[in-house]
Amino acid sequence: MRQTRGFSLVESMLAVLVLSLIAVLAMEAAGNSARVQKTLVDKQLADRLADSLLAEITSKSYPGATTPAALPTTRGSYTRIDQYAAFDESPPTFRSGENANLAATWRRTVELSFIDPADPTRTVPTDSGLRRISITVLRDSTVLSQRVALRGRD
Amino acid sequence: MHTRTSPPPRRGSVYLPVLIASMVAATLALGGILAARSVGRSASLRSDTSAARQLALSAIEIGRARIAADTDWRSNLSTGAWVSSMTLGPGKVSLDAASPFGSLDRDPDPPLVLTGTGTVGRAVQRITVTLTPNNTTALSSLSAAMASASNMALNTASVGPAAMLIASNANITSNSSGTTVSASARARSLITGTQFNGTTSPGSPLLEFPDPAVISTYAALATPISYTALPLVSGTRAVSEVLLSPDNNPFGSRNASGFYTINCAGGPLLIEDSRIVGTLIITNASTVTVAGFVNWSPATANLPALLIAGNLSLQLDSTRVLDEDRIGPFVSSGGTGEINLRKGNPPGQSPQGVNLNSPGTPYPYPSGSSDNKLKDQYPTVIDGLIYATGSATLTNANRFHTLLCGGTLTVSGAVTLTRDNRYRNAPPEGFTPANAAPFRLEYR
Repeated sequence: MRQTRGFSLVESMLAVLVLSLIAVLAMEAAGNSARVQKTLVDKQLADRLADSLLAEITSKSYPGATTPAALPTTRGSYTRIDQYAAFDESPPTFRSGENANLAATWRRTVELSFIDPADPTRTVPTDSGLRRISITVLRDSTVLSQRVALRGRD
Repeated sequence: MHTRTSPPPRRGSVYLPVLIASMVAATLALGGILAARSVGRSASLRSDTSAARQLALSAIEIGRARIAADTDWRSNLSTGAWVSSMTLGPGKVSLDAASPFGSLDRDPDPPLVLTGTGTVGRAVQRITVTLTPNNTTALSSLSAAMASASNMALNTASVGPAAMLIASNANITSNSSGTTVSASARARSLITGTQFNGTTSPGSPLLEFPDPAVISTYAALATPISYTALPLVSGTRAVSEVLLSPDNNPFGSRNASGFYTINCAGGPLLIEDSRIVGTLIITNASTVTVAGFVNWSPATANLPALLIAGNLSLQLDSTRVLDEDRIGPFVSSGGTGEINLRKGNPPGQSPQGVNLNSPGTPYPYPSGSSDNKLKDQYPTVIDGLIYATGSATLTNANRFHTLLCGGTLTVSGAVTLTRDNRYRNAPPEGFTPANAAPFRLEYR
């Protein structure tokens, strides 16, 4: 008996199975890629937020006066590093105080401490002429970026 | 009619398009994943690079802070690694110091090259800063431990130690075979004599001396002490056998900075056998003589100790100490029972003693100890800057930090110089040319 030419049911089913498998894997990869992309965008934004605030703080004066300067009402009027001591904002804003169009889940904090110049691993309680500035950017309480810098007295 | 029909596909041929489609899909997916990873890595490297740059700058800040915290940093710090792979935040920092001339403590001040390195992940950032002394930070005469704006004559003198520098804006002459100069010597013109054991540099550039007007600047800040209210010692008004400090002024009201001024109205002044913590500004004196056993330091390390509008005669005896129980008025009873070292005791009397480290004036000042006993001894030394606008004559066995004089300087006897870099690194007001900046920074 002569064989009938064409696709057999088994062939078709296998082909559909393979294609489905490939499609699932591809969709998963695409999903992962989108998630990674989203994390990456958040991380880059967090880095920019940290870098810009660090640049802003390090450009300020560190006169080494023992009395802390009075805190102006807007950040744009800050002139001294010590005015950032209790800085904690959510969501982050521009220096002028303008809204940066970020969700309230974003948060940016600053921590200042004095460092011993002779042993920079050691934190000291009084003004030593060297300050450590630590900036943390979080989203949904997850740390996305952290920047640390030291600044000597003017 | 013969109809040709195309042959039906062979069995299994469906796998070929499936395979091709699968490969295309797989390639696209893999390419997407690789691209995403590459973008991720690149972003991560950019972030690390930015953080590493901040750390490298932080390393330079450590260097700046170290220099600022130590007025004598050129002596106390050396070239090489100042910080090695120290963890800071997300990475590590290192700081290296170098000088084109090797040592940092040379004259003239060499530049300092600081290289800060920040490492975060695979990102390494390195920043090099050259700190070039302006050479206008301090008057150039402050590079020397003993300097005169005119001639310097050494007559049977011993001047040292070897690490010190003596200088003149004219000639330095050693007039006697009994003279030994261990210190280096530099002069604008000639250096004559054969007893110079250190480096000699005749024909050196002129040194800058203070403007004599600096005396009135400091006098304006000082609390006056009446010249006529001072006791007479052998017919000369004298600051004798007392403690004078920010917390103690036996002649009047106190000055919190230790600035006291005496207008001598053309007469002489004697300062002897005392402990002084502060800056004494003497005006209109024919000659100011500082003699015997004096322990003297300014209230703040880099302020001057003695400023004289006039001439100075320095006659310390640094071979012996200032003794609390061998000074003070003589009394027949209640004295210390000791003998005044320089005057001897009158029959049946002994010195009452003077407490030279009473509460408020600890020794060393300001972080030493105080007590009410009369048994303490103090080295004879002027641990501070002396400036006289006129001439200076040194005899006996003098020990001091820095002496600048606007006229001739004549030295006999022993001179022990104790200068460090405190005035050169942080000159007091009036000892810095206008508009001086500590360093010129060059980043590269």
